[in-house]
Amino acid sequence: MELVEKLEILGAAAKFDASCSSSGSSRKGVEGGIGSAYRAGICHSWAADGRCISLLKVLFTNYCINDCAYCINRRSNDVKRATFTVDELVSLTMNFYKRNYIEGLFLSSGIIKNADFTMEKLIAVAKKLRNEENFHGYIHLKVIPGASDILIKEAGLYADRVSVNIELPSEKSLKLLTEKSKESIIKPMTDITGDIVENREERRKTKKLPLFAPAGQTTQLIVGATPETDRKIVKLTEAFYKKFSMKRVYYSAFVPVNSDNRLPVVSMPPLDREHRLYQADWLMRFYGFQADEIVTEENPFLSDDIDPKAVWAMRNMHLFPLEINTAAFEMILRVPGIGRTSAFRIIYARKNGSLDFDDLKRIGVVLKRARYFITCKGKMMTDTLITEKSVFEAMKTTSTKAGAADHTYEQLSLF
Amino acid sequence: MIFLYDGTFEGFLSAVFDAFTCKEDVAIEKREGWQPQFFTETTELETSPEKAERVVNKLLSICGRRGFSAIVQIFLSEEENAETYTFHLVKSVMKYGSKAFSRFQDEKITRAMEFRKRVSKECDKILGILRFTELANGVFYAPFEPDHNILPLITGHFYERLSGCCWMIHDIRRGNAIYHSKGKMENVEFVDEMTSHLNMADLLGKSENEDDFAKMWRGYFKTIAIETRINPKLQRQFMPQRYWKYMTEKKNG
Ligand code: SF4
Repeated sequence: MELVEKLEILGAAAKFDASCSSSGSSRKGVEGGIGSAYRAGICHSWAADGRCISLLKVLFTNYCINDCAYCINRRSNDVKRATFTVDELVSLTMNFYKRNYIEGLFLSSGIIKNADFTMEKLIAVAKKLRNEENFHGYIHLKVIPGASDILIKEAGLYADRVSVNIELPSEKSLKLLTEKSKESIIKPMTDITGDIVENREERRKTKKLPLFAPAGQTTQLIVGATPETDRKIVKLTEAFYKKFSMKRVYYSAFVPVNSDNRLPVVSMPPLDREHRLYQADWLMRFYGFQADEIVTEENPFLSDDIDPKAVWAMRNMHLFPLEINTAAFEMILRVPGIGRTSAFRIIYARKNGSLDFDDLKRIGVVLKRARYFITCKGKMMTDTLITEKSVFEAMKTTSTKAGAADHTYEQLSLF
Repeated sequence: MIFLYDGTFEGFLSAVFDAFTCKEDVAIEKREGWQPQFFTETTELETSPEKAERVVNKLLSICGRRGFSAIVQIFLSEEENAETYTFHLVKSVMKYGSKAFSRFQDEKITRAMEFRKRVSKECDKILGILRFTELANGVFYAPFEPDHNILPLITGHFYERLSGCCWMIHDIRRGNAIYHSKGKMENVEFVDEMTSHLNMADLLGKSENEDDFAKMWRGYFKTIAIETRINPKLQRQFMPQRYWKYMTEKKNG
């Protein structure tokens, strides 16, 4: 089979993995070598679905011994199959990289023979890139559920990031749709967390030790294939951040590729729901929110009409309005219409003198939304009428789909 | 009084130096394209590297590398009256120190910072979408046409990253190019003005493998999109059409 055809098959087979981010690593380039990592990550292109392409995201092979209900590569499917050789993948990565098509390689795989056998193949590619090609660009290796700790340790030496996909938000759903045990997923996650912590501590003593997965670990789960609530998903996400110090949790709206009576019948992937979950995730990572503040037991689903930050603010009107010139940073962050950049700017700018609404506008605050929650020098913005209806109308987002895509990029500017 | 300078950043900085030693209120404008006006006095300035360096050091000592690079970015934005805004910001920095950058109460500074944001946004975008082509002579060549004059801002990134390659990045619109080989970077001297705006890949030809890799990349690019999520509007929002001309996966349709 021609390489170009393999690439098409094994690229298509990997496309449902949501993560493509190349962030979190600052691996340096070396003289005479090829590649360096860029802390914030770089998007190199955007596919026709508007999703960013950062890494060459492919499977090593799409043969698989498993038969997960939602997966296009399951063994019972009649699809074209292919397998790369290590050399083919190394050459593709190097040549794409030199042309600045990509930030590096994201390598995953169907399972051939067993978890360890497959894992060894992935490691061989990464190892050759690092040791023979002098490659210092980004490598993300997928850890095959059930792979042994020794191999995970080796993978982390070559990779910037490693990940094990949880895929489904509960043990019950895992049992129903896959042959993977919860144990086979949680165990490697725990190992990775342990290895990262250990590596960090030892590197504090001797800087010479090689880095272990400097961009940390991530995971991904499918939204809408099984009946779990948003609350369940958001709580699970929080646990991943807190217990496993994960860098990111990705959500992938369920796209039906197989007909299977264990799966729900949907015509379109639940993109709006995926988008709201990313917003909730964002609030936990950058805005200091707890899962319980975002989705309560009484309201276990995120709102269709209003973003989770505004929902929280409307539920907590008694905490507002805030005086912009004196309020604490943590509270300013919680005002709808004020993002992180604007919040930082407010803190800096008010040192130069007190701010009024015109200044806020210049800073980039969306007053249409923020006006209901703030005062400047003790006054609300003129003509701000707070009624349930007016606030609701202002908080309603007009389009959610448009913003659904760029979760790969996380840039912050202080100025 | 209006100071006319040669259009280079060095020239601008040395004009700043002269402006600070001048008693009058001064504006700084490019010499090229300057339309003489009644009642305005102009002085044509010589560019002085020493004066420029003194201004650089002064600014670095006040606002550090980060602040200084913001000033550079605003100048390189080439937005309308960029000099005026840069000069205004420099004056504020001299007066208020680093705090000047967050004086959102000052409309001119807000505008200057807006320019800076446009420039850094374009830099971020170009770091991703710049495309190199391997020429027949083995050089990796990347032509582009940025809105702002960002060539000097992006070469450092590729210097570190593509250390093991000979490469050339070419701003076809402005006719400037930087060439790298074995750890050395230099400005490319073109034989004439016309050549400086030509695509070298057409002139020098591509390497043997070039079309194969380009073809594979295009195939991959197509195959990675999820059919049920197709959203061309979103795609264009992230990847503005004006940049497609030099993108392997986007040119020729
Ligand atoms: S193990 Fe992975 S590749 Fe194999 S069927 Fe399950 S999800 Fe698909």
